[in-house]
Order: sequence, then structure tokens, then C-alpha cells
Amino acid sequence: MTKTHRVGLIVVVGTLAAMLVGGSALAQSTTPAAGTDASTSGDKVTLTIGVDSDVTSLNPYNLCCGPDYTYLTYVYDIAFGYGDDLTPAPAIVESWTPNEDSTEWTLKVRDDATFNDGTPVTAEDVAFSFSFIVDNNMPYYKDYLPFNPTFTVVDPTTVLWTAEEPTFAPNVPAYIPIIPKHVWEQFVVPGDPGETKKAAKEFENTDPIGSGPFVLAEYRQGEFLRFEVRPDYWNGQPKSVTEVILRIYSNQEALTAALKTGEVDFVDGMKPTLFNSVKGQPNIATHVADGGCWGNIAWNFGGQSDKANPAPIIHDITFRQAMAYSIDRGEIVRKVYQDTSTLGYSILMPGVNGAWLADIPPELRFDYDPEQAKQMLDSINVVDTNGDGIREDPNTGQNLDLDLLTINDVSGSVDTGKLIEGYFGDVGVSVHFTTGDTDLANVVWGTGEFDAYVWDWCPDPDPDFMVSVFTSEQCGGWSDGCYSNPKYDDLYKLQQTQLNRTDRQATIEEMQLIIAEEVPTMVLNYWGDLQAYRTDRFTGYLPSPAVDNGDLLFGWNDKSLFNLELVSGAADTASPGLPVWVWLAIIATIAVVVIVVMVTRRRTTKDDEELA
Amino acid sequence: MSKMPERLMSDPELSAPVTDGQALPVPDSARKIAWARRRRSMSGYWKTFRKSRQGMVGLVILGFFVLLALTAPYIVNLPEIYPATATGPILHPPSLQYPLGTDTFGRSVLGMVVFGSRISLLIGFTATVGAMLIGSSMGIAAGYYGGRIDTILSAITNWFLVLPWIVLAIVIATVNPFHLPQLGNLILVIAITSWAGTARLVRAQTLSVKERTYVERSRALGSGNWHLVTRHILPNVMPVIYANTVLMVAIAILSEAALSFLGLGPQNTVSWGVILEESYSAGSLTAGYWWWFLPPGIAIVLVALSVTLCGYALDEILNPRLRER
Amino acid sequence: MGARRYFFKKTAYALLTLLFVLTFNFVMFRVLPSDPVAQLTRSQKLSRDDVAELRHNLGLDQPLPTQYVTYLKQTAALNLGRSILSGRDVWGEIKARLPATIALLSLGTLFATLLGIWVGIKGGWKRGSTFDTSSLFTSQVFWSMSEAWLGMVLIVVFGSILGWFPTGQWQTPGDATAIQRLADWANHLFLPVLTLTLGYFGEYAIIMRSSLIEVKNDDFVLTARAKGIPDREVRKRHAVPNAFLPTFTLIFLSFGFVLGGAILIEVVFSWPGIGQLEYDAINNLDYPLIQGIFLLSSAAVIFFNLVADVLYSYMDPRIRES
Repeated sequence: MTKTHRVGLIVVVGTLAAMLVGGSALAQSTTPAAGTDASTSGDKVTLTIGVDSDVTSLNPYNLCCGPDYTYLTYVYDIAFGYGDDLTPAPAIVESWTPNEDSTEWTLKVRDDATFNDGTPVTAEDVAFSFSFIVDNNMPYYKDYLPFNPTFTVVDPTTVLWTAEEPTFAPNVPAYIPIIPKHVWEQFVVPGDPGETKKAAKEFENTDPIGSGPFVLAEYRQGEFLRFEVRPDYWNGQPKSVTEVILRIYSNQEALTAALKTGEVDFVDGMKPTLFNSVKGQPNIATHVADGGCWGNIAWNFGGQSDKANPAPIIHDITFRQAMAYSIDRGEIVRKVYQDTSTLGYSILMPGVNGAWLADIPPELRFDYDPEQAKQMLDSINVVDTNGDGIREDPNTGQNLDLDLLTINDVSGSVDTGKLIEGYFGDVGVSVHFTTGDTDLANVVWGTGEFDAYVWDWCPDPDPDFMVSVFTSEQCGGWSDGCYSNPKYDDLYKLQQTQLNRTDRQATIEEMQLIIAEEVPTMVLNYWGDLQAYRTDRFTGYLPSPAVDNGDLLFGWNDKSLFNLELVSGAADTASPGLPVWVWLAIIATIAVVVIVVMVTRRRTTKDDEELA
Repeated sequence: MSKMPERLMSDPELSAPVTDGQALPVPDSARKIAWARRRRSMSGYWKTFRKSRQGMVGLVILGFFVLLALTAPYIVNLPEIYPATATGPILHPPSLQYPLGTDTFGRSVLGMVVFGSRISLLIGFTATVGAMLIGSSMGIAAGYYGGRIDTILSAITNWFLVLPWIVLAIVIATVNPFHLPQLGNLILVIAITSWAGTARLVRAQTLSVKERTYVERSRALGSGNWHLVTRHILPNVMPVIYANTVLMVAIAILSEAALSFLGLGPQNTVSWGVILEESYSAGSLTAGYWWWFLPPGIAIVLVALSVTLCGYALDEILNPRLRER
Repeated sequence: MGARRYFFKKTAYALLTLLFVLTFNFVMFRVLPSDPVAQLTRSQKLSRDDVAELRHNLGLDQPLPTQYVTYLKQTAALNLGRSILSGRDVWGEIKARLPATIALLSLGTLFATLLGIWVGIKGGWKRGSTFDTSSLFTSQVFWSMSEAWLGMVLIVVFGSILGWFPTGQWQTPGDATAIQRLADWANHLFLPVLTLTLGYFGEYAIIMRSSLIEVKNDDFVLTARAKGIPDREVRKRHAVPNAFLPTFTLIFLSFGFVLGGAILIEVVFSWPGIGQLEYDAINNLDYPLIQGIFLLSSAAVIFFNLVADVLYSYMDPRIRES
């Protein structure tokens, strides 16, 4: 019996130990060969950035969100750069000059750039990177290359961009990563864009070859990405940083804790509650950058698919304006964003769009006025005739019950929706509330099975994309809810051809006013990107764009990262925990106790046996 | 959540029959006899139960929460727990006006916890009833019919018994195969992942009851299957699963908390799991909003513990093997 | 029944159970959804050709039995499809997360078992003693806690307030000597393993206690006592070994349940394991990934059950006879 007992215990402990050993062996085997060895660690200056999700993939054509674009810009060069004021700046493409009618652009490629495998970046690679997107209809980037352009290599440093219509596209500037032709051409299946796209998207790209300032030295899924500075980067090296680690935490909670304990140097995209909690903490500075996104409630007009079923009353402009009056934007900013976002009224943003932004007059802002909302609803005969507290849609005679979609992975969407549900209720419009993630929202968005949703838009510095969203052509594409206004469509086409900036600006401003007045979408607020960093580690953060509320680290260029300097006497980033010797002492103590117990046990057992 | 009350019980196959075959001197209608017998055993149980201090403590706590859930609409000022109508200061620590502080919307945490007891207990009780129904029918079918049916049903039961339940729950909760409303699907998920223990207990008890002489006699007298199961098997099987059922309420409430925490909880309403998830995702740990995440967790512990105490007290009564000799 | 036959029978049973899991998976993801392609690809806007091609690749244009066979073949080759979000191979995604989960699970189980068995033996043998009543109550309190909440409380106490241990991830990136690395792991493991231990020891303690109480009244124990063997010896040689058997199987059987708790703990502690992966998969409704994790964790549970059966029969030969 005793034997059985002991065997059992041994088996259990043995199995668990084997699992543990097996596990750590596995852990070792999955470690990619590290790019450095311990001896060089003395000169290493590591910037550790905390992020709250892993990169979606290492493939530039499979990116989505979060830290994906940080990875992209570290390892790859973007064809065109951004200056401090977000105007286009020379990068890998040094200069671009149009012909007379702007249908043909001559791009000059720098001759001193190399990929991290040592091969030079040539016009071949640049032309390939562009045509790869156009020819194979690659997602994310193709909107930057309008009017079916072709790209011809003239000589090793010259590419000719020929479009079917006059275009200012290179000036937007086009956000296209430069990929090495010698790596990616293996995926090209001649004459079959579908196959090419599929093969390119399935490429895992575990050892990414790019021409960016960093090389990916180590990647552990769910743990971290480690980038090392390239000594041969064409645009020089950072002042002091030699290594950047993107450390992944599964949630904001752990991320903020890590910032407090000094495990990470920089955090962005923080939740308002957490952001406010680190304000004023020792050695931590906070910064509200212009987040580059605005939150909105968008109305659905229907027409996306046969399944689209919005309430007909939404087509009434008075109804939309009335509902706008019922929403307390100030309370949303206070309750949902804890005062970290600001009130906003236009579909373009300060900070990102700068001078393009129109001033929306007070009468088109529809500031909170529930009484006004009720009167306007009464005026269009949306009234409560049966006395149940809910107004009826005059078209159907049924209670107005709006399907409101909120998205749980979009900052503040669900909480804003909960508030709007209450505001609409106050003026007698009931809300049927559904929540899903972005993927689900995309499906519903595509079919049009909703009345309104709470989401966000993040404009590019050039307003073209943002204003295009509200054209009828985008129904079933980017359009929120198939809003259609022929006058607006004409203005959009007009601005695409206005190569003169002042003319285009006037058109863009007029378009913003139309959207503000007709409320196909209601801008709720401009989000702040909440950033916090350790002041005892690095100094020299440069906001981008170069204004007070610019982004401190992930702006539209690398200047801030390149400018960082280690604070003198800065300690290494370290996790809290017991030092090595304490653990050794604990293990030693346990070992001694176990041995003592075993010895005494054996002795007593022997004594007992002798007794028996 | 991932707890296994069913295995905490000793094997009923080994335990003595509990309620059958007491000779009754006064001849009466069969139904009356049965009822009298049941009433007597019930009052016997209650006498023993009352002696268990832990059981009584559990019962009192549970009673308190049930009362709270039933009266919640009358004692909670409803506007206080809706985002748009909440007027409280934002993220305010406990004060006289808000004894458990407020959340990001300025909602009263106390109000939410009180109101949340409704959904949490509703899910706890309905999922348990569901699990008990599935478990008892599977168990009785397997035990009563035996043979190939038993083999198949037992295999399915054993599979559900050892399965990583939370992963299975996630699969069913995300796929929603029957297109149920969200709350209904959640209850279904919890019932589906927790019936197997009951089925095993019931099967074993059915096997032993089936062989008893009075069942054989009744069968010989021409009783149909339905009669045998409802009149003879079921009454003798039920006591075995009482304690198990009570414990299952704890499992169901913990399951609700676990699934809500993973973002699969009931939407547009307040439950303890939902409050926990909301406070967690707002970052209340690091930001130090202890008044927001401690109360729902403590409420869960109290209810699960009270149910557990009751369950163990019942088990000691109904399971003679555990009685002190 | 011979030992070998018993082993084969149990293995066959395990394989059958696995087949059942596969069938369940097949029904859940390929038969029940009205449009599996839409579900498996979610939001990607696909052309009609793309959909037709996907249907063909997934074999959805075949009759159901053929689909089923294809599905079994693909699964046997560990071809679990590709994650919708990352586009990476599902098995590869899971493999990368295995070490962290195995470390957490094995250490947590080890400590929970040791603590639970010790508490159970000590309490059960002296039933009704102060130690017994207080330890039983403590076990029940911890049993009644939501693992996620317990983890949250521990994070606040040991991480935020005391600042003794890291509250996320399982190692610090960068170079370190072997011994530093081990200490780093120990530091990161401390809180999650503590949560798992506290969350599960109660279960083992309660089981060990009740089986010991049952065994204590058995004839052979009473006989041993009557013979005048010292109390401690009776406990050690007669009672505990017999009461230990059910607890022993439980350790293996509970693997699936501990795995469930580990998912929550991984989420709370930002632990880069399977649980974290599952959590992300839920949030993105990444069905291929959810499916793959379900399949592999079920397979692991079935395997551990088989091991438990075989070991149990080795330890207690009577099992094979019945």
C-alpha cells in the first residue's frame, strides 16, 4: 500500500516535471536565433514601448491595426515621407515632378538606400512595389494609387508614374511600403492576380527584408518584437537608441502597471481612466496627442444590399437634425472620455488636416437642446399618439425603435452608445442596442441591417479620402450608410481635379459644411491619443506634427525616435521581483526541509518496524 | 466556474437507499402513502439540516440575496444605474450618498450590484434547472434502458464530464447554433457544460433502484415504462441529486462570471460578471478604483459559498457514508 | 481481463471519444452554420469567384460524408486551417503559445495538489478538529471565488500596492545569464501560479478529505486499529494509500477544468499562452482559431484521461478485473 502511494506520488510529480522540462525545451526551441550576444549588451540603449496587442502579421499586406504600422515603418521605408507640418517630404523617393497636365509624374529614387540583406534599393523595387498593389488589387494601399496608373522604370533611379487622368496622388502622399522585388516576385503568377494576391497574403515573412531604419532581430508571438538599428541606414541613425522593443501586454491594465514599475518607457493609446491614474505619478509624464480620429454616430439610408432595412424617417433631414440636438456631446466627452477628447464638429480634424479644416458655424453644430429636438420631431409629425412614451414613425405608424450598433473594440463606442440610448429615450425615440466587434460591424455595415452606428473615422493628412467617404459612389464601399447628395458628389469630382490648392481648399470647406448641415453622420468629438512616458529614461521627444499636441513617438515620421537621448544616470528597464539570491535561498531552504523530513521519517519508520 | 461538484460526492452506487420501502400500517391510497412518506422524509431532512451550523449560515446568506434580487426594482433608484441618467460624480470613492462609490458614468456601484443580483441569480437558477433536466433524463435513460443506449449515453456523458468546459462554452457561445437571444444562449451554454455530473449520479442510482424488488414486482404487474420511471425510479433518484443541484447553482454563477469576464456575458444589462468585466476593462486595478471591482467579486463569493455550504450540509444528510459512525 | 487487453480497450475508448470531439467540431463549424464560408472568412469582402474557390478548397461543394472524411484527414495532418486575423497557420499559432501555458498549468497543478492533499489528509483524519473545520471553510471560500477576480485582487495587493512582483508577461526581453533567466521566470510565474494554486487546492483538499473519511470507517482500517497499530501508522500505511486513489485520478481528470481556469488567469496576467490566444480569438471571432484550440485542448484532456486510467489500473489491479 505504501508502495502504491509512493509510486503514485512519484508518477504525478514525474509527469508534471516532465511537462515542465518539455515546456521549457519547447520554449528554447522556438527562440529564433538572437541577433546579438550578451557581450555587446554594454553599449545597448533599449527603448521599450508597451503595446496592448500583438502585431497581426509580419506581412505588409496583412496588416490591420495597433502596432502593425509601427512595425511596418521600422522595417520598411514608405515611398514618400512627411515633413513636420505633414506635407510630403523626400524619402526613398527623393523628388516627384508632374508633367503639364499632371498625368505623368517622374519619380527620382535615391541611390544610397539598401535593404537589410545588403542589396541596393533601385527604381526596379520602387516600380515593383507600386505595381504589385495596382496589378493584384492589394488591400489597404490601392486607394492611394487612383486612375489605373502604370509604373515604368526609365533608369536605375527613375520611375515614370502614368495615370489615366490628371492626379495629385503622389502629393497626398501615397502611403506605399517599398518591398524588395527579389523577395516578392516569387509570388507573381503571371496573368492571375487572384492567385498572386492569395500567395502574397499567405506569406508569413518571418525574416522581413526591408529598407527601413531597423531590422527585426527577434519576434516572439504574444511577447515582444525586438528591433535593432541598422548601421547602414541611408537617413542616419538615432542619436542614442540602438534597440527598440515592442513589449506586448494583453490589456491596458497590465500595460499601465508596467509603466508604473518602469518595465516600459512609453505607452500610447491609453484608456482615459488609466491615463488619469498615472497623471502626477513620480517619473511619469503624460501627453494628450491629437489622436487623428473622431467618434461619430452615422445614419443609415439603405441600399447596401437587399437586407438593408433602415427606418424611412432617417431620410428626413429635420429628423436627423432633431436627433443631433438630443445628444449631449459634452457629457459624452466627460463620462466616456473623462475629458480627454475635445468637442468637434467637422469631418476633418485639426492637427491632422490643419488648414483644410472648415469652421462650422454655431447654427450647424446642433448643441444639446432636447426641447428643440422635441419641437422639431413634433414639426415633422413624429409624435407619440398612443401615449406609451415612444414616438411613432409617421410612415409606418409603428413605434420608432432604432437599431443602434456599437463596437466593443472601438474606443468609447459602447459607452457612447449607452449614453445615446438614454438621450434618444429622453426625446421619445427608443433604441435597440447591439454590440459586436469590428468584424461583426463590418458585416452589418456591408449588408445595411442597422439604423445607426457609433464608430470612428481617422482621416489622412490629405482630405481626399475623408471627403470621398460621403459620396454616393462609396455606397457599399466606405460610405457609412449610403448617404447620397448629387451636389456633394460633383464637388468631390471637382476637388480631385483642382491642382491649385486655394481652389481645392474652398471646395473642401464647402463639402464639410454640407455634411455638418445634413448630418448623414454626426461628429461627436475629436479623440486624444493618450500617451505617457518615463521621464527618468529618455528625453528629447519631438511632437509630430511639430505642434504642442503632436504625437510624441508614432507620428508621421521617425524624427522623435531618432532624437531621443538617455537621461544621464538612467537605470535599465527592469521588472519588479525578488532578486536571484532570494530565490536561491528559498530553493535551498525547501531542499533542506525536504531532506530533514525524509531522514527523520525514515528513522521513525525503522523504529516502528522494529517495534512491530 | 471550472469546478466539479459532482465528484465531491461519494459514489451513490455504494450508498444505501434513502427513501424507499418503509412499511406503513394504515392502508391508504398509493398516492397518499407516497406523499406522506415524502413529507416525512422531508421534515426529517430539515431537522437534520437545521443542526448543521454551516448549512444554516449558507441558507441565511442565500435567502438574503434571493430577497435582494426579488426586491431590487423597488429598492434601487433605477435612473442611478443607467449611463445617460446617472447623475453621480464620476469615479467617486464611497461616500454617504453612494456607499460603494460610482463608476465612469457616475452610476452607483451599490445600485448596480443589487440590481445585478437579479441577472446573476436568474442565470444561476435557470441554468441549473436546465442542467438538472438534461442530466436526469440522460442518466435515467442510460440507467433504465441499459445495453447499447447506456454505452452511447455514458460515452457522451463522460466526454462532457472531462471536457475543457470553458473552451466548449466559448465555442457554443460564439457560434450560437440555435440562434437564441444572447441571455438565452448564455443559459444554454452553462446548462450544456454542467449537466454531465448529474447524469452520472442519476445513472448510478437508477441502476441500483431498478433492481429492487418492488420495481420488479411493479413491472411484473404490467406497469409501463413511463409509470415505472415516474412513480418508482424518479422519486428514489431525486434525493441523490438534491445536494448536487444546489452545488450546481454555485457553478452556474461562477460560470456566468467567467464568461462575462471573457466578454461573452449578457449585454445591455447588469450582472455581477458584467460589472466585474466593465471595471476590469476600464482599468480599475491599476487606477485603484477598488470600490468598483471588489463588491461584485465579493457578492459572487458570498452566493457561491452560501450555496456550497448548503450543498455540503445536504450531502452530509443524504449521504450515509459521510455520517459519523 | 489482462493488462494488455485493458490497455487496448481504454485506448480504443479514448480514440472513440476523440472521434466524437471531431464530429462535434465538424457539426458545429461545417454543418450548423448557414454559410460556413462567411463564418470562416468573416468580414473580408469576397468576390463570387473567391467564395466559390473557398468553398472548393474547404470541400464544401462535396456531399457531407465526403466532407467529413476530408475534414478528418486534414485534422490528422494537423492542418487546422488559417487564423482569419493573422493569416498564420492555426497549429503554428498554438504551438508558439504552448510553453507558457504548460509552465503555468504544471506548476499550478503541482502546488495545488500538494497543498490540497496535505490539507485534506490532515483535516480528514482528525475530522471536526479546529484545523479541519477552518481548513474546510477556507477551501470552500477559495473554491467559491472567480479565478479572474482572485487574480485581480492578487495583482492589486502584490503588484500595485506592494510592488513585489511583475503583473504581466512571463519574461523580460533581453539577454540574461541562465540563472538570471530562471529567477526572472520565477518572478513572473509567482502571481499566476499562486492564483491557480489558491483557486484549485480547495477542490483537491475537499476530495482527499472526503475519501479519507470514507476509508477511515472501512473494515480494514478498523481492524488495523484494533490490532493496536499506532494511529499515525494506520493513517500512513492503510488509510491514505486507499483514499489517495480517487484523488490521484482526479488530478488527471481535472486537467480540462484547470485549463479553463488557466484561460482566465492568463487573460488577467497578460500571460502569453493558449488562454490569451483564445481570448483574442473570441474578440475577433476568429473561428478557425477557436476551433483549433477546442480540438487540441480536448485531445489533451482525453490523453490525460487515458494516462489516468492506465496508471490507476496499475496502482489498483482490481480495476482491471471488474
